[in-house]
Amino acid sequence: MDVLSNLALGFGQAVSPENLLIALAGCIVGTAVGVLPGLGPTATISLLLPISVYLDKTSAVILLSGIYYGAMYGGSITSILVKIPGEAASVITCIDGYQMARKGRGGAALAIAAFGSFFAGVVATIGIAVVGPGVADYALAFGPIEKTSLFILGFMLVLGVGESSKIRALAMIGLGLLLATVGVDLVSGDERFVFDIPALRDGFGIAILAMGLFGISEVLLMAEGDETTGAPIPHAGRLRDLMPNRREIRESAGPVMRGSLLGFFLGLLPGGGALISSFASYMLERKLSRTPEAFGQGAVAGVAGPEAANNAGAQASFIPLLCLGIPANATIGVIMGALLLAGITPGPRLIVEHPELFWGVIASMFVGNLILVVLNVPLVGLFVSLLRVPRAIMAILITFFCVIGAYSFNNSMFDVGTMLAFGLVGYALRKARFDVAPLLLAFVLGGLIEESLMQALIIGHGELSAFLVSPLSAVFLAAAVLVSVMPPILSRLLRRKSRDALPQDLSKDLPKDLPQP
Amino acid sequence: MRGALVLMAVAATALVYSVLHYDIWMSGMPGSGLMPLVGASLVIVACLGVAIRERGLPSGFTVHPAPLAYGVGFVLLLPLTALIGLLPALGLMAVAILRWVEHLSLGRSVAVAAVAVLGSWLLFQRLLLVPLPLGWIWGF
Repeated sequence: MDVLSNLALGFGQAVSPENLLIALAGCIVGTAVGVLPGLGPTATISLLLPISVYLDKTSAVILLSGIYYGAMYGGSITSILVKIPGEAASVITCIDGYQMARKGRGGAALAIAAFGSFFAGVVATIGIAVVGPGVADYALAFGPIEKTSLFILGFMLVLGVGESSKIRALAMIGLGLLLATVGVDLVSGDERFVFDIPALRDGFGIAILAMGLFGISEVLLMAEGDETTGAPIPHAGRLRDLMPNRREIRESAGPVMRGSLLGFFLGLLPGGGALISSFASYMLERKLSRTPEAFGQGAVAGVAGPEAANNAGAQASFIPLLCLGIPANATIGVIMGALLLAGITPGPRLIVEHPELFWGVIASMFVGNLILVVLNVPLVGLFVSLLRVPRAIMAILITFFCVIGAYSFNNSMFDVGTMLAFGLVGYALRKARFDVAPLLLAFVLGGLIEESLMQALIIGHGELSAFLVSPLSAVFLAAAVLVSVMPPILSRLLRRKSRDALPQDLSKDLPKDLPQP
Repeated sequence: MRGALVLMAVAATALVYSVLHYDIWMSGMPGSGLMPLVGASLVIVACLGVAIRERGLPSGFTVHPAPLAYGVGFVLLLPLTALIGLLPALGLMAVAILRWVEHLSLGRSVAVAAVAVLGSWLLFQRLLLVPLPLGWIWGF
C-alpha cells in the first residue's frame, strides 16, 4: 500500500504539465544525441548542467534522466541501421540488428528495440518502486571485491560474444585489455604506452574507439563495392509493413521478458552492472536458442533481449545512485553532479528526506518510456528511409559524422587521427576474420576491472582468498566458472549423444568439431 | 592466419616493452605492468592457437583499391585540416572520393559534398556550438 501511495505522489510530480514538457524535451534531445555519433549523453548532460540549476530539483533530474534513456534508444538506431554504437551498451545490438537491416528488416528491428525497451522500462520502474527502498542495506555490501568478481564474470560472457570463434574472441579480449592500459595508471601514477604524447595520458576514449572500429571500418568495407555490405532498402514503404511480423513478435516476447529481468537485477549492482546486462542477455538467449547458429546472422532474439536488458539496466542503475550515492557509470555520475548542485546528497537518507524527488523520478521513468515509444515508433519509417541513401553517399556521410563527432569530444584533431587509425585497424582485423565487438567490450571492462582489482587487493591485504570469502563474490566467480566450463562439456556430451544415436557406419562421418550449443 | 601472426608480433612487442618498463608486482600488490602482461599474453596465446588451427589453410586477404583510396584520403585529411580547416578539408576529400573512387559525376559529387558540409556546419558549429578548426588560412 505504501508503494502505491508513494507512486501516486511520484505521478503527481511527473505528470504536471511542466514536468511532462521537460520529459518530452529530454527524450527528444536524448534520442537526437544517441543518433549522432560523438556528442554522447555524458557530454550532453554535462553541457546542460548549467540549465538544470535554474530548474526545480525534481524537474532537473527528470530532464537529465530523459536524455539518458533517450540516448540509450537513439544509440540503438545507429547500431541497427549503420552499425555505429552510440553507447557501449549498444555494441551488442550492432551484431544482429545490423544483420536484420541488411535483410530488409531494419524497421522491424527498430520497432522491436522500441517496444522491448518500453516493456523493460515498465518492468524496471515497477521493480525500482518495489525493491528500491529496501535495496540500500543489501547494496552497501557491494564493494571492490564483489565488483572485481562481477567483471570476471563479464569477461567470461564477452568470450561468447560476436561472430568469430572463441579463440579469436580471446585474442580480441587481450587486445582490448592491452588498449585499456594506455594512459596514466591511477594507482602507481606510471605512464603506460604514452611515449611522451600528452594526448595519450588520459588513454583512448571509448567513443573514439567505437567510431573507428565500427563506423570507419564499415565505411571501408562499404567502399569495397560489395552491395551486400550496405543494408538494402525494404521493399515496402508503409509503416505497417515496417513493423515486426507475427513470427518476429513471437520470437521477441521471451527474450524481452528475460532481458528485462536480467537487466534489472544486473543494473542494481553498482559499477558496470547495466553494461554487462546487454551482453549477458545476448549470451543467455544464444544459450537458450534452438538455433544458436542464427545469432550473428540477424536473430530477432539477439536484438530483443539485449535492448530490453540495456534499458532495464540503465533504469535500475538509478537505484545505486539514489539509494547509495554510488554512480553506476559516467552519465549517472554527471546526474549525481546535478543533484549535488541542487544541494541534495544522494544516499540512503534520500528516500526519507526527499520522497517527492525519489518517487517523482521513478514515475517520470514510466512517462519517459511512454513518450519514447510514442515518439519513435511512428518515426521508424523515417529512420529506415536512411537506408535508401546510396552506398557511396552513405559512406561519405558516416565519415563526416564520425570525424566531426570525434573532434567534438575534446576539440582535438588528435582524437580524429586516433579514430581514423582505429578505423584502419578495425578494417584489417575484420578482413582477417576477427570480430571487433569483444575488443570494445574488453576495453570498457579492462579499465574497470584493473581499478577494482587494486582496491580489492588493498582491502584484502594482497590475499586472493578475499574473493572467495565474500559470498557475493564467490557466487559471481562460480557463475564465471560455470559460464566458461559448461559450453565445452555440454558440447562434448551432445556430440557423444548424437554419435551414440547414429548407426556405427554413419557416426564416423560426423565432423570432429560440432558447433557449440 | 597472417593477420593472427601480425597481431602476435604486435602483442609480443608490447609485452617486452611493458616487462622492461613497468613493475608486474610490487609490495605484495599488482604493479602497473600486470594488466599489459595479461592482455599481451592473451593475444599471443590466442593467436598462436589460431595459427596452429589454421595452418595449411590459405592465408592473407586481398585489399581492394577503393578502401586503400579511402585510407589515403583519411591520412591526407589531417594535414589538409591544418591548412584549410576541417569542413573544407572534409568537403575536398568527399568530392575526390565520390568523383574518382565512386565514379559519380563531378556535379553530383560537389552537390553531395556541399550538402554534407553545410549540414555539418549548421548542426555542429551553429546548433551544438562545436568550435570546428579553421585551419592556417582562415585562422588569421
